[in-house]
Amino acid sequence: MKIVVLLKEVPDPNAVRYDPRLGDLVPGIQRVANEYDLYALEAALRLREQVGGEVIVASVGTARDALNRALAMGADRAVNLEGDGLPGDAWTTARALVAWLQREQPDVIWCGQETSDSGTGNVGPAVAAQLDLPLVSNVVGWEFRDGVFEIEREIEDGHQFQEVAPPVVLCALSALPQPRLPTLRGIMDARRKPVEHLTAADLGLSDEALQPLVQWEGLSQPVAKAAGVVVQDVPPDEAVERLLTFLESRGLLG
Amino acid sequence: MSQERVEVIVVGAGPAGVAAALTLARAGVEVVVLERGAYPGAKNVMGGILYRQPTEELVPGFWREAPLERAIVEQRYLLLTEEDALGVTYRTPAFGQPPYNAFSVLRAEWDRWFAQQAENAGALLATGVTVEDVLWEDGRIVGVRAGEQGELYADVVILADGANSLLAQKAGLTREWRPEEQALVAKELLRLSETEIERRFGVSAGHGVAIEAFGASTGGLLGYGFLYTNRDTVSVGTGALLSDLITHEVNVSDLLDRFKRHPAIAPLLEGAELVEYSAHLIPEGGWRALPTLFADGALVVGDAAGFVNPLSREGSNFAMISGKLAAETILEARAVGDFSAFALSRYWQKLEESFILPDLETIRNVTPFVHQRPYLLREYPEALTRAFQHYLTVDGTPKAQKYGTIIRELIRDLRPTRLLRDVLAGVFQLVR
Ligand SMILES: Cc1cc2nc3c(=O)[nH]c(=O)nc-3n(C[C@H](O)[C@H](O)[C@H](O)COP(=O)(O)OP(=O)(O)OC[C@H]3O[C@@H](n4cnc5c(N)ncnc54)[C@H](O)[C@@H]3O)c2cc1C
Repeated sequence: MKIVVLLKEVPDPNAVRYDPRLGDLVPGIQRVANEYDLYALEAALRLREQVGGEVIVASVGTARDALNRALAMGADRAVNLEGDGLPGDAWTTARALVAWLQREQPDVIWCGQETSDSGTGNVGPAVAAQLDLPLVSNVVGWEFRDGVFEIEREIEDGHQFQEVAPPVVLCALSALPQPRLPTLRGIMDARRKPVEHLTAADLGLSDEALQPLVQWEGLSQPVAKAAGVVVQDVPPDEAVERLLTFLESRGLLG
Repeated sequence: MSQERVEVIVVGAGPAGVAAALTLARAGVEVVVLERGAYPGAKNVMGGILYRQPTEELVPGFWREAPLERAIVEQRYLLLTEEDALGVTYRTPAFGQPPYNAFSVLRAEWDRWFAQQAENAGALLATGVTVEDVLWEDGRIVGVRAGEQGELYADVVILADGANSLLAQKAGLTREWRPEEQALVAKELLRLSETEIERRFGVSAGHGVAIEAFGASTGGLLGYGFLYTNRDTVSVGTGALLSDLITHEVNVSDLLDRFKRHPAIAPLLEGAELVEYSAHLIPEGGWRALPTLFADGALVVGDAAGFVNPLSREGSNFAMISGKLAAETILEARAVGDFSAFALSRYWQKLEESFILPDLETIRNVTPFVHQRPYLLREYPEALTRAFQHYLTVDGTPKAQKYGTIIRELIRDLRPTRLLRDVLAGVFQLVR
């Protein structure tokens, strides 16, 4: 089975700091693999262990360290789509991935539910839509039996079970099994695994095709909220009294 | 299964490990650096003064491109009592111009950049790998084990895992550190704006100040408080020997709070926003606690070997230079294909020929010296600040009378014979 994992490098969520003067994140934050994507990779590696085949990790935008980590964890090869216009927005990212995926024709595409930086959760669905493939999001459990995935997905107030046959796009949440640590052997082997670098031009994509749909207008910090008033462990009458006094003091009772 | 092998394994991507890896990689040696953090610097605390000269021995001209915070143009030494401060300031424009003398740095950024240099030279950096033990074969160290992440074999393992090296202990190269051989330091990174730092510390853009404060900054214990200006943050911290903290039942974060509230320090930090708090050990056993620095198939470098000069806040340069000397030792050993303790003992010679062992020897008696004189950091600051207060207060007392009082009090408080003995003893310790 040919399994692709979409993997993005994001600023380390533990180190992210906002710089009010720049109106952006402080520069130079270390980049790491997006966490959900590593869960997707772990699922892909387990699937390969079960049915055999190949795991290919693909990333749009600079992702040297994240791809190396994926190779060390056991992916067979990596593809990095880079250069002018990339990564752009979720739409252009998906465009570039689709152009490449059409060549590879994988059976399964695993991706993270969303990234910790932009958090749009759009890339997986956009890829599925452009390739006209079924998509299952919020995957928290799966089994592959008799050529069919039995999938458990998390929904608003419960879990849903679905069956779907490849080719399919699956979006992983972190309730899936923990990503494995790379072994020392894996780290050494990763050096010898192929990493392919492709530009938009290599994929036959024009500048128009890569026009982003979304323009970011910079970041700002939410205004700090005042600590609320907590009324607790008092008889109901008194609680009502306090609540009314509070609302009145704020001029909220007309 | 066949063994996974490289020529050299370095454990720890701090300044010591990276310097070793860089030197080896440049010479074409296959070297792997194993770091437990998600990236170099992720777990590192440094008050953050980096000296130019030793760093240039590894990356000439680094200051043109490395992520540095400010060039330190001014050094202040303060003697603090509960409320007062007496100090000496040295400032020179020379330190503010190329090639500079020292810089403030943030470890998270500096370590990453430095490690990148080693990677560019061909070293393999593997992060997220915690080495649990060294591997032995016929009495020789032949590799490392990283739990479920497996094993890796090499001709030589360099232990660069920092203060309180568990690996050196497990490998039997050192005994457990004692509380009197470690300082515990609490440190905060506080944000101020760039312009505010320049205004408060009286420096121009790109320039900075380092402050070291003795006396009340450590509650009179052996140690010091420090404050270094970064670009738009300041590093402030204080600490003392672990054993002293224990006997005097002092908590370092309380010490730091008090230091930050000191009238001479508080205005410098007013309104600053806390970015990060951390605490860290500094090995201060030095000469007296030196581990076995070389063994069959292994070398110990940097903080793991206790190479720190607490007196002049030098650690990263000891780390980098010891890493470089270890690498050079390995290159010589490799040329003859002999990685026995005997061949690697050249490392000791190189350390002796450098500043590292001589400096450790020079300061070897500082701790006992201060411990025998607990009044040094308690009574002297009191007596001296009192004298200055009298001297500077204009209160109608005729000067001759005032000077007389000051001198009499100083003689009473400082006890000239004791003082003379202390000064002579101090000088004999440090100068040869
Ligand atoms: C608060 C404070 C302020 C300081 N200020 C200064 C200063 O101003 N100037 C100065 O020159 N020095 C200063 N020092 C000292 C300086 O930080 C150290 O001397 C220097 O970092 C030592 O370098 P190292 O490479 O030996 O160890 P470290 O920098 O400690 O690096 C060790 C590395 O090994 C990794 N590691 C540890 N165990 C394992 C393991 N089992 N497996 C894998 N990896 C492992 C760690 O994650 C770490 O990255 C300060 C120290 C402190 C605590």
